[in-house]
Amino acid sequence: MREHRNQQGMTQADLAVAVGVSRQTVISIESGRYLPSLRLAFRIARQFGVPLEQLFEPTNEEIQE
Amino acid sequence: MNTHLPPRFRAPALFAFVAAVALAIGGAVHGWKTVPDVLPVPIVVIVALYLWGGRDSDAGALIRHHLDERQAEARLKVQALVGRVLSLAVAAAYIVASTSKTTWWPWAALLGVGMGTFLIGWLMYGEHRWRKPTQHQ
Repeated sequence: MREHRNQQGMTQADLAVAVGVSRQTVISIESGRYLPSLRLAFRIARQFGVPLEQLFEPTNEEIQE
Repeated sequence: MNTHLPPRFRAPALFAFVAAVALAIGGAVHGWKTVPDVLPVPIVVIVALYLWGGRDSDAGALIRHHLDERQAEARLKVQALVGRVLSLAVAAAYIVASTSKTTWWPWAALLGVGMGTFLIGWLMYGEHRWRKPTQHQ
């Protein structure tokens, strides 16, 4: 996700405003500490214009939680 | 009241209102001379809420009541923890009060409130909420 954000020249704060969350949540998603809801994941994917699976590929552990 | 106030002022204003009511009741019951002794506490809390509420942090968002999904999830977990701890504390207080033969019914009433709230919550948010109407094929 960070790569796509950098490609679009967006800061974490820009992306946070664009998808309607806090900057801390963008940081948490990028660092892998928070797995977003499907709704938020789709918002982020649409913001970048890429398929969902290109942005998020959770590990088996994250899915089992 | 809340809708006209900027988000940063809402929590301090709410706390100021509650503190004013508590001070008025305390002053009326225990005498007005006690009010200046405790007044610094709510003032410090109000200032702290205002300062924290302006920060770009999870705590700031919580104070401003402007939470995104991650922050709301964290708040929910904290509230659940508070509920569990309070329930255990009330249950312990009920056991201690009834074994020491002191007034036990307030603790029993609180336990009843907890159980009743659980049932109401289950009715509101339980499985039936997610069940779709039966589809005939």
